[in-house]
This record gives sequence, structure tokens and C-alpha cells, in this order.
Amino acid sequence: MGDVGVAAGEANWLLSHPKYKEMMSHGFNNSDQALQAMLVYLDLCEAKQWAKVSLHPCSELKMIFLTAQESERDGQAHLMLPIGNDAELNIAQMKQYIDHIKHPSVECPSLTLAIVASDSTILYYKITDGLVPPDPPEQLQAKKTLRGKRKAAQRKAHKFIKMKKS
Amino acid sequence: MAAEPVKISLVSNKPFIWNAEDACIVLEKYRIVGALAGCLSRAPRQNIQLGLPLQLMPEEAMLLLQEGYAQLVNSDQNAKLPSPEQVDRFQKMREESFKQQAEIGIAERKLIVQRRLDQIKEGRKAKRKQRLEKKKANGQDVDERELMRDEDKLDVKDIQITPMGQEHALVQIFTETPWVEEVDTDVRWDFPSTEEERVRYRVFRDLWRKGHSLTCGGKFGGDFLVYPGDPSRFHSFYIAVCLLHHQTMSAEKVVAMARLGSTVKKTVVLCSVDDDDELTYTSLQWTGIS
Repeated sequence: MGDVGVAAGEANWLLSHPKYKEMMSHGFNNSDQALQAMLVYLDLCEAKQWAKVSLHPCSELKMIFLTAQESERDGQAHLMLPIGNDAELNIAQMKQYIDHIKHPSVECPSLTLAIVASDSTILYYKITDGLVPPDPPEQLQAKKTLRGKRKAAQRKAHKFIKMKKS
Repeated sequence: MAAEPVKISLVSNKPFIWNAEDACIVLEKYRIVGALAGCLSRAPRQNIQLGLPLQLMPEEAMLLLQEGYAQLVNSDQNAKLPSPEQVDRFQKMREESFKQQAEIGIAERKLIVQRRLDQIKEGRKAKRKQRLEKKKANGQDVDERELMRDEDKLDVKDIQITPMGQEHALVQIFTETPWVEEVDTDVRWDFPSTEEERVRYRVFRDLWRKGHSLTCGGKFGGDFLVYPGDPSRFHSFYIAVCLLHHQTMSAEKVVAMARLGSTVKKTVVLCSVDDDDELTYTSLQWTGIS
């Protein structure tokens, strides 16, 4: 059983995923970006456990983007655009992204770039038109504690699942 | 009444302000911060607090010149040898200064003597007693009335005060020469000359017009640090990075800039001039999704 055979087998699994097929059905002929979008989709759904994760086509840019929100209760939907970390970015390009990636369910003017590395690591960075002041220190502190609490709850849930299995 | 434009001189093609009042004016009236680059003559061997001259970024100087708040002056004239008339004025000034210091010196000394008068009297009494005891011990004749001599009538004017020698006079070292009156404005400066310089200047001017204060952004890997007000009272909000509109950079570079910004609680803003000759600003932020 050759290594190539095993690797090809894994890639094949992603390629036969219904969501991937849905992306390719738009006829953008952009299999690299579709694959990146696939990884972002899985990351948000399974790893980050976000809610209402959906894939959308952008015909002007011939790219797939996503809308998602942090949880069922948190109504703030975000726009996410998957790109590779080998992408050559410039300000003109970023403006294009901000102008064309839009969805009626999202009020927020920011666009989150989901930068996908070849080892499937994904980094999320927000770009916005104009000058966006940084969060004041009190808000940053609140975010930190909220994230900390959520992570602690996740850890507890995982522990419980492990206990039940054993 | 229009204010007299402040003087900016170019040294090695860098703009400097040497006059103390001008340096205050550009900060208080025009929101131009600059950076002090000189040594304080009374606190030389440290660089925590620097003194004049005030060095300006080329963008700061250009803005002051364009708005008519400043003029470029030629500082080469300071290298000319002084005229006999200037030498004469210089000598007179030094003498006058020394005379004033000598007078003040004597007045201060008199005050000290006044304060210590009692101690001086006691000291003199003790000395005289010592001398007389010695004489007695040697078998010499001692006039008892000398012992009775009253020191209490001693007054300040009886105490001799040595006047200050000229070698102790304080001498002022000027940062801006007071001996040259005519301002020579025949100076050429080629800024901005490249496309990058033009973008930087336009970004600086636009943000300044919007009411911000800007300083050099080198410490944070950017072009400017943008403050919502006086830099001594606020932390900066933005790190402005000026680029050409189609200048490419890797996604990794974008990530590095955005991450640095979030670590120091500032927003990185990519600034450029678009194809319609309009200024564009794109803010980068870390989402905090981990």
C-alpha cells in the first residue's frame, strides 16, 4: 500500500463530500478555492462549533464564501472568505473582496479572511473599509473572560464524554 | 494678524526647528509633534529627555510649509565668519552679562552673611579668645580690655565679600544663533519625489485634516502612529501602513501586521491612493477566533 495511495484516498473523501460537489456545481472552475472553502466549512462546523454555517457563491469574483455565527443565540452573522496563504494580496484586491462579498443576512460591514495553509491551519483576520478604532480596554477584558468561560465549558463537556465512553 | 511663519532649516536634507518658541507653536497651534533630537546642556549624558532641535518628519515639514505656517530657511549663512560689528555686539553682550551676574552674586552673598551673622560673631569671638590665650601662655602682655571688646556691633557691611571673577561667569550657549537677523529663504527641497513619498504625504495630510495627531510609526513596523488627540495624553489608535494600491504582499505579511496590532491594542490600517486618485483606508483586525 503506497503512501501516494493513502493520501489520494483522503483527498478523494473530501472531493466526494456533498458540500464540495455543491460548490463545484457553480461552474467557477476554481477547485483550489473550493477545497479551501471545504476546510473552512468543516473547521467552523466541527472544530469551532459555530451555527448556521452556509456556503454561497460570488459570481463577480468566482469564489465561494461563507456566512456563519458563533452560536444559535448570538444573532451576529459573519462573512468569511477562504483564501490560501500563498495568495498575493494587495489593497486593490482587498477592496474588491469587501465590495463584492455581501449577503442580505449580514449587517456587519467587515469581511473575515479565512487564510488556509497547506497543513489545513486556518487563520481568521477581519478586514474593513475605513478606520475602525480598537476596542476600548474594558471591552477587551470582557471578551477575554467570556472566551475563557466558553473554553472551560467545552473542556468540561469533552471530559464528560470521555468518561462515559470508558 | 497673520502669525510670523516658523523657521525650518534643512540639515543633511532633514527638517529641523532650532527656535524654542517655534517648537512650542507647532505643537500647540498646529498639532505637529516632531521629535526632539538634541542634547540638554544641563543634563548631557542621558537620552531619556532630549532637547532642541526639534526634528520633523518630511511629511510634517511639508504640511507646515504648504499651509503657510512655516518657511524654509538657509542655515548655511551661520557658517560665515562674523563681521566686526557682530563681534563687537558679542563682546558687549558678554560683558553686560558678567556685570549683571557679579551684582547678583554680591547681593546673594550679603543675604547669606545676614543669615549667618550670629554664627560669624561667635566664630570671631572664639578665634580672638584663642589668640589671647596663646599670648598669655607665651608670657606676653595681654590687654584685658581686648577680651571685653564687643563683637555685637558687627554688621553685614563690615564683612568683606570677594567679588566674582570673570572665569566663574555663566555663559549661554544658543541653539539658534541670535546674531543673524535677515532670513535667507532661498532653499530648495525635493520632497515628495517618489510615488511612495507622495502617498505617505497625502495620507499624513488627510489624517491631520481629520483632526488626528501623527508621529513616526517605526516602533510598530508602520509609517505613522495615529492618535485621536495629543500624544502625551492618549495611546495611539492606529498604525498606518502606506502602500501603493496594487503593491502585493503575502498573506503571511498581512497576518503578521494584524497580529502585531492586536497585541498592542491598535488597529493596523492599510492606506493607499486608488485608481480614482482617492485615499482608501482598510483596517485589519484579529478576530480572536482560536
